[in-house]
Amino acid sequence: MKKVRLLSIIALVIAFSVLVSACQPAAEAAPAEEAVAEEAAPAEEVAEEAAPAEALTFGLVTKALNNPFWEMVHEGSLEVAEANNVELLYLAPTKANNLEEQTRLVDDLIAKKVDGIVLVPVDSTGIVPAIERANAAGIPVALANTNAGGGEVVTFSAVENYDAMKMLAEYAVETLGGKGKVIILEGTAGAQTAIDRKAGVDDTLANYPDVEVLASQTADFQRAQGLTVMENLLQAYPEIDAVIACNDEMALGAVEALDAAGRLADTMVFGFDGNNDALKAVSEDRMVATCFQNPQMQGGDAVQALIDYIAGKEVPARIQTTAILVTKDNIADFADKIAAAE
Amino acid sequence: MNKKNNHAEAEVTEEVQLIHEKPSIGKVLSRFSRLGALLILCIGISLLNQNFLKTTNLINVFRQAAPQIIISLGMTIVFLTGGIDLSLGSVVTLTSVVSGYVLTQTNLPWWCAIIAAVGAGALSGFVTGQLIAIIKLPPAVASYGMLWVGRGLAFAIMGASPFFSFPDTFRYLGRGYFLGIPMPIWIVAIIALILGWFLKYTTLGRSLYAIGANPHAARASGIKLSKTLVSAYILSGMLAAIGGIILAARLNAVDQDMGASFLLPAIASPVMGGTSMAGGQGGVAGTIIGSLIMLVVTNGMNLLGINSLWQQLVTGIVVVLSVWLDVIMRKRN
Repeated sequence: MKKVRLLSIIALVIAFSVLVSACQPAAEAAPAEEAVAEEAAPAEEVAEEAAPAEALTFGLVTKALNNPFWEMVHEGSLEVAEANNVELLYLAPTKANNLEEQTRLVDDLIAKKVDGIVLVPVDSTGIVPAIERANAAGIPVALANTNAGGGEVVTFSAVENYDAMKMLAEYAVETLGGKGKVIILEGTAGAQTAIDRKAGVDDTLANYPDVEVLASQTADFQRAQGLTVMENLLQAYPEIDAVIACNDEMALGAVEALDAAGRLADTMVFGFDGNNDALKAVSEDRMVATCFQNPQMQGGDAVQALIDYIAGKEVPARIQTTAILVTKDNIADFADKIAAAE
Repeated sequence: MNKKNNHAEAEVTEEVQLIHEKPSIGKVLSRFSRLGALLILCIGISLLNQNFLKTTNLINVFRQAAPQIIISLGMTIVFLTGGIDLSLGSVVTLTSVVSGYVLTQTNLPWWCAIIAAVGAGALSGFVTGQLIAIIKLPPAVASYGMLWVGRGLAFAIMGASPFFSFPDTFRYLGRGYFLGIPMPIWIVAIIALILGWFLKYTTLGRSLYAIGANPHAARASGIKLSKTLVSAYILSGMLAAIGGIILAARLNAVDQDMGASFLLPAIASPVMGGTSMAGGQGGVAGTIIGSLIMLVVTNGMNLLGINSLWQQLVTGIVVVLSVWLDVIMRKRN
């Protein structure tokens, strides 16, 4: 009996170490990438012109690790950082949208005395104390994608959710021919992005009395919820001309529900964000349009603003990222992203 | 030694039989109270909206409930032993990611994806069970640790871009029909029948109740505690995997956090269905009813067009009310 227990403990330890080592690559992938970037950048710099006296180190903190959207923000930031000989430390909560963890990450960067922080707040209000601590430590902060309710920031680089959603909704009404029965899938109840996007849709549709909103329901920005909520709404409404979803995940869930019910041909689906698989859906006529938020540019502009600020240049307090309406007409411009999704 | 064990085991099964097959009026009443709660809810919603009682909608709700029912049944088994498995949500994520990986990144046939996913679920449950039974970690801590291990592995396998566009053979499990009934409902029905039989008529099934009701007595009567415990967690991991497979087949995609939202409903459903978190009490039927109550509420709110800001509140109230009803019926007992 004792032998068996000893054996199982040994087996467990082995199993665990295998598991832990399997986890390792993911955890270290980001720093490794940074290291490569660091090595590559100085060489270029020397070739171009005399390098600045000291290389800068920035921290980038997003809302979640391993999320395609935040990964694109990271890519864009890294590109600008690399080009300017800035070392970029990428950190993100392992549990998506966890404010407590994000606050800790910002504090870590402050303790490391980085030269600047690019931050995508999980919660606009909750992050303020962390920004204030960075201010107190004299570290400049630039926000990307999501605004904060306080603290001093160099700039805020993002798409204007309200305006971009209006653009999308206008296009939806145009495709509908100014009349039809519409369902709106809202984001997480109470979240600022969800509120802004919904307001964009509501304000647009209010101008078109012939567009009837059958239902406006939350699907929590999630694909699985989008599927469930759409399945339920299909039961209640035998005729739906369009679904306007406040992000691509929900839109793709709705596409699955419509497809399974054999009603995708009768209903147009609109999304928002421009995720790779949504772009693919547009190219395959499963979705009519989405709005590309240009996450690379959001991150890159924020990094550039910090570099300029530290160099003593003037930086605008608000950098508006241009959102691009993606339809069948310009989907060819996104061929590389669709290919990346395969 | 062996003979003695057998004898003791026979004794304990008798005891379990006594606990579970005593036909008391209160027990029957409380069982029907759960079904009653579900029926009252259904009648209420159907009075407010005629679409609710349509066959297509009822089938729709059942199909939606399938993953949650199966995952909750896994939690029910663990609850019977007096434990808890907090890793179930991330096991759902991990196993669906494993199936997505096999389907999109390899040339293996679709059924390999199912075997790989169920295997991953069983392995994860095995490790959780070992941590609890052999290393003696409290179930909440061991499974919380495995929650992170599961998430980490899912991240490592998938990287930043989700898997999507699965072959039709695989998607059939989520959206296909057999004899006019959706596949997820068939899968739930088969699992529920097997599990119901397993818990009632097999030695291992009865031992699960026994170690939850009184571990010392169970051990004294010859039940192998650690083996039984580990089996419970392996079973719950496999059920979570099946839930994950149905979910992936329905969504035609897997993403990094798709299982997380199933953990708390999987804890609530068995409790709403009368399974005790302290162990030794509960079963399959109650958990199915508990899950259905939650899905009917969502369905009803969508049909009625209730404002998004109120939906969470309504769900919370229904969960609390139905557990409360259960407690009242039991006290009367």
